[in-house]
Amino acid sequence: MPLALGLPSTAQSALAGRSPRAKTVLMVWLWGAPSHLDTFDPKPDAPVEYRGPFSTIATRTPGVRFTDLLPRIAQRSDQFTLVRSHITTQSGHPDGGTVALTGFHEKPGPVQPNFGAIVAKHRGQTGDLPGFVSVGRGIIRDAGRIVEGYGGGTLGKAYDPFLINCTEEGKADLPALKLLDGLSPDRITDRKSLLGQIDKTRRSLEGAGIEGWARQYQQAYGMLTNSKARDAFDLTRESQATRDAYGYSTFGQSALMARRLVEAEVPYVQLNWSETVESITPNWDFGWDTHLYNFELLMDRHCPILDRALPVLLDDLSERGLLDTTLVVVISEFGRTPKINDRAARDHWPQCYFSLWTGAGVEPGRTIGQSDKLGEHPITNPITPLMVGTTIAELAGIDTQARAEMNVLEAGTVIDELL
Amino acid sequence: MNYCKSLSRLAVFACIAVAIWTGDLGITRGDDRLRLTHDNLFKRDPVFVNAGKDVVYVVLSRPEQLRLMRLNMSDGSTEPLHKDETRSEFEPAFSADGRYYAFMQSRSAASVGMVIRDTEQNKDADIPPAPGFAGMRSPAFKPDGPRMIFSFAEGGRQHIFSVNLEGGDRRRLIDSAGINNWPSFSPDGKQIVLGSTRDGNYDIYLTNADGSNARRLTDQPSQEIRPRFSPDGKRIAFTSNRDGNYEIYVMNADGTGQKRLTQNPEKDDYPAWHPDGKQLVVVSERSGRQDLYLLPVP
Repeated sequence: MPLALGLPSTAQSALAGRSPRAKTVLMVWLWGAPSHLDTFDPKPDAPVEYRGPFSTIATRTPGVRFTDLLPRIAQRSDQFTLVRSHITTQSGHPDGGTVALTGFHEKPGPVQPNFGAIVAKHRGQTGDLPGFVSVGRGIIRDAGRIVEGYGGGTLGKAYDPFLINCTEEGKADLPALKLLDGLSPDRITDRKSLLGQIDKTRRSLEGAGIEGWARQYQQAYGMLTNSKARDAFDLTRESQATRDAYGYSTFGQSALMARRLVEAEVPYVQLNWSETVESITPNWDFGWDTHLYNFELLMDRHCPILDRALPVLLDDLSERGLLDTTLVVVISEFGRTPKINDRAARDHWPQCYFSLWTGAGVEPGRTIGQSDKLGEHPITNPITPLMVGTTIAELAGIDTQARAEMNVLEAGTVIDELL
Repeated sequence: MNYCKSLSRLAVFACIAVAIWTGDLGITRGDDRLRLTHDNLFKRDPVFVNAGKDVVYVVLSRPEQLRLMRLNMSDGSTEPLHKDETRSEFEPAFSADGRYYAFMQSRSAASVGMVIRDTEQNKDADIPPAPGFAGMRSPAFKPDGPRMIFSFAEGGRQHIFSVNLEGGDRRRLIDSAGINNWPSFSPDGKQIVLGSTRDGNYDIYLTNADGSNARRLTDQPSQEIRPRFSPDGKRIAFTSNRDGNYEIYVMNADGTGQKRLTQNPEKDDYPAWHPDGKQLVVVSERSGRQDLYLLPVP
């Protein structure tokens, strides 16, 4: 990649030379792309073929309204800043996912690193836990195709995220240990028997050339034999009231695990809504891709789960004093068609979508950017995925020079208003 | 075994009697007496079947699958309705005589078909989705004739259609602006109650059985959804978020006398009448867990 640095903006210059505001970044990844009109950017005055069936409610931010699917988040709007002017260039999920998570297209390669890989490499090994952890059910994908930008990209597989699955009951499962029958963190009580089991598996895999698995396996092994690391995955250490508050959904308990990882000072945590994009497809786990039943699914399942877990996560981080040093970003790969489709639902819309930002000194209670009266396009300066990644990097202490040395986020500029 | 079943049944009815006697008629936080399931999993679409002896409902049995389940009211046991099914199935509906039932079945990417199962002939009528992203919703049987209704979207609107029990003779009954959903018949088969966004947000409407003469029963700026006639046809139970949270309401069949039945800071939804007309089964969220509860109706 040619080295052509973006000019530092006023905000970038202001941050230069300071210690990082974000010790940890928590990326909440709403995979599948929620409808912006039906959530955080409603258009109640648009024609019926656009506006959808939901009412709007006041928030804690003067003049800002959300749909009535999000009453609890509306009551926390003074805790975050809402961006309503995102655009991207890809309208398909895998490519759109890569652009949203790396700032660059998949093709032509090489695939650039996920923002999490950049933060992890910059920090180096800081403790018992990996620098980049992805909480979810595996590498995010659309049908059989993974999102190429999920991991280390040009920085190498060493910076792929360490994957942790969390069930709706809050049980952790490390996919790297899938080959070890029945092994899970809560069953590791005898180090000797664990070592025996691992040795047995290693022998059976010798010569199989499973390099990527071997690295993750070594990390998993290291963590399972380290009580501090193991504790980070153990939700039974939380009070019953805390676990209840997050709700017993996969996303709810995963959000609690993400908070524990933030507390354990993992530099970058990506909390995935789902593994697959589609909302109603055999063997897919109900992502936000609502080409069908958009309004019903948002009302019946997706928004109630999000509206329960996200406010609790923000409250929890705040009450533990973690928000001062944790940057939280809630975002997806694009938005959904403002005009309701033939099947009374919404399709992909890369021309306009939203994000939420809080923590690490980001001034909360604001709205940055504005979309037009139909929610089709930003009418203020559009904000790109590369700007998202550059802003995350700046707040995590990775300045222009550091990015240049890593050869990442080329020509990226920050979201000035956010800083 | 029969002794145990009788005891369990007695216990449930004793709880209802106590609730009525004490005036505690709604589900309140901490009230666990009328809880029917205990697995805490995401649930939806309960319906009483077999003269109120069983409840068929939908559970998210694994992250990728909505599954039809049957709950035996007498002993509390549950089992999958379709043991070997791996696709998502949801929105079950049963004919008045119990011979037929219908449900939605996920077929491929954003493509949902409808099955009408004849349990007597052990035969399925399959209504496949249209090509591309398409699917039906909310089947309901006509109590006084061999037809059923469901909702389906075309041209950006979601209409109500009717078919015979072989899935043929498709007719469009209700065609309005917006989204029409959750249709069901009055017990005499002469009226349809449904949710519709024809005037903006979801409200509840009543039409004749042929879809004509639509009358609005609720007029709220919130979501009024999933209406169901009581067995005697005099009342309608529904869900509303008019108080800022999804709760169960009941009203007279003409829309008057709207009354809130639940007082739970978490979500209550999917009301379905017991054949005795004195109680509903609902999905209630308590401390982040979703289960089925009985809700006495005063």
